[in-house]
Amino acid sequence: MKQIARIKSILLLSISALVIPCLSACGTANVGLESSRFPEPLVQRLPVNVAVHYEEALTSFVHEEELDGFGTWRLSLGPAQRTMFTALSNGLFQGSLVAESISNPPAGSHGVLAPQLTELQFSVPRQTRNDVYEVWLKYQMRLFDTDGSLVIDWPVTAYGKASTHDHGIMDGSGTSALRAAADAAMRDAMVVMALRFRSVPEVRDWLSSNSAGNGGLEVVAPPAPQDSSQPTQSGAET
Amino acid sequence: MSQSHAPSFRLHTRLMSALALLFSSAMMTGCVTATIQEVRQGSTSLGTGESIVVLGRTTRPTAQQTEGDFVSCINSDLSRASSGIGVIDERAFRDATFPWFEPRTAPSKTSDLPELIRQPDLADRLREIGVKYVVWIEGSTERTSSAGSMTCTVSPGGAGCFGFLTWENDSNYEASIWDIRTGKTVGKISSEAVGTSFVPAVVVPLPFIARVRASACGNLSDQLADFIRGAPT
Repeated sequence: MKQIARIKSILLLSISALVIPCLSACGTANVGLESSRFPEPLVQRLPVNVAVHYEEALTSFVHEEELDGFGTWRLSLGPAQRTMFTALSNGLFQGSLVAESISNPPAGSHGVLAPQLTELQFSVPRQTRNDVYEVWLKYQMRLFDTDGSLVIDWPVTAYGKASTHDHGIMDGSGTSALRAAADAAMRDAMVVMALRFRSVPEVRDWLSSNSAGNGGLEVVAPPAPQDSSQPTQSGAET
Repeated sequence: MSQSHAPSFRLHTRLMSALALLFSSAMMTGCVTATIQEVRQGSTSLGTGESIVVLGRTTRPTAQQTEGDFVSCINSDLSRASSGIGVIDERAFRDATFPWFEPRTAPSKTSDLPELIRQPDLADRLREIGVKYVVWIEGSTERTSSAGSMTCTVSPGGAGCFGFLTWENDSNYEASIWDIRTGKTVGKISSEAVGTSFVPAVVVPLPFIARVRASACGNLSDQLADFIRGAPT
């Protein structure tokens, strides 16, 4: 009986020794950004009404990659794209609308913005031997005129990182840190789009032609910023 | 049978109690040497409705960045009612001023501030939220040396460790305090802390952890609170 118990213990230890590392190395780590919130950029709004067209490929974007020896990683960035581009267009354009298709923009819009997320790369600390998770994103910002002609196909690259130190030992799989890195990369993409979009030569020409020729178009006011974007103040006041 | 094992059981219990006592005392003590230096370049005070924000320096292309939990620690210490200082949450501030204090756009020196504040919407927002001072935290905690080895064995008969580990951590942080309305640096505070941790193990490992970063955080927060209030040092 004692021998059977000892064999059972040895078997249990052996199975644990095989299974526990496998949970982190062989499993699929799911990183979702469904709960991400993005602020509206505080920039001078461009005097145009732009409709954003959300393609299925953008709103259901998933990147799945198996890293040799580090398991499979699945990053679902699609659900956060609509939240991100809604915040961006509300802050960037005087009027922000949604277009069901590129060829049929809603009345009152000066153009259609159809963003594409074309590339995602990421690295985990064990690959790079530092303590950060990193995410690189590449967008193609396609702007169409109301007649469906392409104004510009502008590439935007963005980068975000998050340190393992900020996500604790309970984040053994790294999903929380990688989520934070992806979130930072999307914010970085918003920064580039909010500050540089207006200075792209083709966009500048398109803006000036719309300002001159369509000055009488009705401007749709964006929704008021939500209270949640306001800072909270803690501590006593002097 | 049970009688013959009684003395060894009592000895085992005493040993475990002694080890538990040692363990708890070790967790409470830590040998840390800390130094704080302050340079004041202007007077400071906070009026009613005015507040500060503490931000970690993440400007690129710096490879290192200040740990987020260190910035949170400073924020939480300064937010205590006893500090008498209104502190705006870092994330909330970055959201409210987005995209001007992001890693790609945050001002790296005070000479960048006037141009930044010329953004009419940003200037309005800063007035609206009442922020007067921006405190930039730069630095990190690094392991500067480590030595020793430890071997742990697990078997059906029991488990145990044997060996000795030691390492030294060095925290080096600097807080630059900017008056966002005048666009000038009003002071700098640097906090340095060095501590050696060690773990001897004879069956049970006993960690003597030097809480270097916590010490740097506590010292820097206290000094920052005094500095902002304009207290003489």
